[in-house]
Amino acid sequence: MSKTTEASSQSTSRSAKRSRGLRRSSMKSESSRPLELDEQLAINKHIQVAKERATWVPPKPQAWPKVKGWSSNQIVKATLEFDALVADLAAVKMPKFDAVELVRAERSKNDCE
Amino acid sequence: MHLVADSSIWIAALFAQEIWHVEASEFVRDVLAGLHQVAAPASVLTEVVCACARRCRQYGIDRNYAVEYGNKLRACPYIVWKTVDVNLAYEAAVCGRIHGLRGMDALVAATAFHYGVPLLASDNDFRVLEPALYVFNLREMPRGN
Repeated sequence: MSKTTEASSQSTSRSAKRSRGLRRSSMKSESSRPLELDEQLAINKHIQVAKERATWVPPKPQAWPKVKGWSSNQIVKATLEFDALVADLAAVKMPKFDAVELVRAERSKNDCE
Repeated sequence: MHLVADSSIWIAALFAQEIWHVEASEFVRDVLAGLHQVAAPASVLTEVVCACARRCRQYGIDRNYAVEYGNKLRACPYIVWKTVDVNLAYEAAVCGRIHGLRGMDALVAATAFHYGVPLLASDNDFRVLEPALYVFNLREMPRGN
C-alpha cells in the first residue's frame, strides 16, 4: 500500500517538474520573441515621453505679488457672508455630488461645443 | 501658505452637498482670514461661477448666488487672479503638451509653475506633474501653516 502511495507521489512530482519545465520553456520563447513593429513603436514613444518629462525645465518662478490685507472687521464680515451663502444653499434639497466630476463634465461639454 | 487651487475646490466650498465640502469650506474660510494666499488663473473664476450657476439652475435656485460667490472671491485680497495673457497661455500649452493635460488644467498648472508654489486639487489628473510640482488634495493639506 505504502509502495503504491510512494510511486504515485513520485509520478506526481515528475509530472509537476515536467509541467514546470514546459512553462519555463514557453516563457523563454515568449521573452525571446522578436517585438512587433507597433510594440516597438509604443515602447519608443513611452521612452520619448519619459525623456521629455525628465528634461523639461519649468519656467523660472516669479515673485508672489504683494497683497494688501483685510482688517479683522473685513475678515469677519467676509466669513459671515460666505457662511450665510453656504447655509442658504445647504437648505436646498439636492443629491450629493463630486465637484471634480462637475468640472470634468463642464470641460468635456466645452470640448464638444 | 502660498499655493494654487483648482476650480473644483472653490465649487466644493459653496455646496454642502459636495463630498469635499467640509474640507473645502474650511479652506476658503482660512483664505478669507488670510491664513493662505492662493493664486489661480482668471479663467478659474469664470469656470467656478458658471459651474455653480448651472448647478443652481438645475435645482431651481437663484443663479445670482453663483455671481455673488464670484464677487466675494474676486474681492478677496488673498486670492491672486493671474491674468491669462499670451505668455501664460504659451507656458500652459508647453506644460500641457509635455504632461498630457487638458487646456484648463494646463492653465492651472502653468500658474503653479509661474509662482513656483504647490498645487491644491481634488483631481488626480494633476498627479502627472509630480515630482516637478508638489500636488496635494484637501485631506493631505499641511495643517498649522
